[in-house]
Amino acid sequence: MGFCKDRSEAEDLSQEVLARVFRSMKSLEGGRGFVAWTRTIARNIGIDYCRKAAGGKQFEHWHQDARLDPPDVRYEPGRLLESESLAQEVRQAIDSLPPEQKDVVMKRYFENRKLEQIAEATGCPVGTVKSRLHAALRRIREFDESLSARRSG
Amino acid sequence: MKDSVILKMAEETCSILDQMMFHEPCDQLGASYNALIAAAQANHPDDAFLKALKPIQEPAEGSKNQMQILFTQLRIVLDALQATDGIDDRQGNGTST
Repeated sequence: MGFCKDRSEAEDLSQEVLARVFRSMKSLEGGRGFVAWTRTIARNIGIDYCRKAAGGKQFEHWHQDARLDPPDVRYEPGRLLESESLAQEVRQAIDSLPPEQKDVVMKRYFENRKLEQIAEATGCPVGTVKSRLHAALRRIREFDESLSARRSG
Repeated sequence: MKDSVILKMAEETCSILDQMMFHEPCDQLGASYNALIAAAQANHPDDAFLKALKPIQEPAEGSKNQMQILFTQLRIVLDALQATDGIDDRQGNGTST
């Protein structure tokens, strides 16, 4: 768990590994390959953690990079985002979503997960994930439209 | 190029960027990004939000994070457009995997 930011997160993950090992113990036939099996569980939990951390980090960077000061007029993504302010609007829109919709958007776009993977992670049917994502995207669009309308009006 | 293809390519690029280390160069992705936004804008010439996405300099000077933001932004804007217009169901794209 060396990739964790602090000790408490590493402890939480270790606890999760143990809990999952305990819950899934029945599926391990005769106890053979226990070490490799446990390692696989730990690895999967680690991958989930890193994905989540990377997604959150990317979302943070979205805000930070969109606010870079433009020292000159060179064409560069960060400055481009600032000049258009679209990134900030989208971020605001995402922040304004209900928690379950925001969670799906974060997993889909910032952790690059497939709908099936999101369904597995959230424990919801794929159809529910789809409808939450659809509703979230509609809200994002409406939020941006109303923001633009307020600005121009 | 169909929206579904644009979204697929943007999603795959995001996955590749996700696996890259922060110091790895991603300057070649500028051309890809420009081509994708040009294609999306051609499909929806009147959409104000797609119009706000401007092409970037090639080779791109942005960092991995900045490139990720651009591609993610394109995905969200295009997916949101489809969700609002309800064309994701007709084209079998948008929020599909």
